[in-house]
Amino acid sequence: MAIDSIYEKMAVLASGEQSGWLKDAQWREENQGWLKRSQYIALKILRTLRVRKMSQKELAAMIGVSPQQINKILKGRENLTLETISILEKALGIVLVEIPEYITSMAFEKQPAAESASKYNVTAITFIKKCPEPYGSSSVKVGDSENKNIMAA
Amino acid sequence: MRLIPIFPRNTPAIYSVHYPDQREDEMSRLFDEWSDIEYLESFFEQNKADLCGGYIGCPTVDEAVHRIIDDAVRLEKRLYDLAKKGQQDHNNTLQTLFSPLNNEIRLAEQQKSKAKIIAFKRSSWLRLYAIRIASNLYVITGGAIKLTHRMEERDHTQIELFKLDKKKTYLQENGLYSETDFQILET
Repeated sequence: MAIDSIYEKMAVLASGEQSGWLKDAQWREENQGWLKRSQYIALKILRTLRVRKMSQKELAAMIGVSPQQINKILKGRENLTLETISILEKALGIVLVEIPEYITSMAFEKQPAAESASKYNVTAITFIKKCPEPYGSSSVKVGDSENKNIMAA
Repeated sequence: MRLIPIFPRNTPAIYSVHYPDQREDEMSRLFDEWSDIEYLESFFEQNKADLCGGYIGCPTVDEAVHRIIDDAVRLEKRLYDLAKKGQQDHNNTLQTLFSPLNNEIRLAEQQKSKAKIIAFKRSSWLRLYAIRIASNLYVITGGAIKLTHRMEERDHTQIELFKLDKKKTYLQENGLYSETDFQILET
């Protein structure tokens, strides 16, 4: 069968309706950063509800929102505010978002006035990053050859 | 049953089937489903026993959901890139994405096909099923999360075979069948 004939037949058979996929795919790609976090949060809540044999309706009642709102969150497509995350964490007694703790210690060294516009020059900044397992605690030193990008910050 | 153009003007051309009992066409429905955490968590809870059946160890439900999230993003990105750029990059074509459903090497017209992505040196569970009408003309008939070796082993994959056959008949009845090009494929 000639290829032109196939395309013509397909065009006749096809609906004039547009698929929403291309638009949805573009939206998912553009919002991938927060979307993935929203999905992880949704999964953690769903697993908690399952273990505790709690319904979405019960969670909704606990925090005073509609079951529809909880359902939207559990699909992993809501751009959640910090306030909503905190309310959910408090209601379920779980941590949904954890910020790695940084302890910054700075060592100052006195510089001669002629060499530096400022009285003190920071010579070393050490970030001590406390990571959960399996990474353990690690220390990232500014100025290390492998961490030049941190120094630029 | 309607045929919805996904990117009909580009090369390759892809159409997706819209079944009367569904709100969206299959391509939209599947990627929507594969990014719906409530659906995925429930699916893997129901099919938990199949997670330990293969060569992939025994992932937990949480791990399985994370895996689908990542694989769906990759598969969608490949298709989106193809839709945007057409088939300019010869390393990223539908022919490299889809393979014959029966693992046959030959490329016969209107063969069933499956689209599967290889990520982290492991096989994906995600499947898009399509019928190749001509070298660059594909019709997506459905898709599934396939955890078992054979499609006949589970209802949700068995139904995809049924959909492929039904669509094949429909295309044949409308004169879109030729012995040399027709191919049934999967990702």
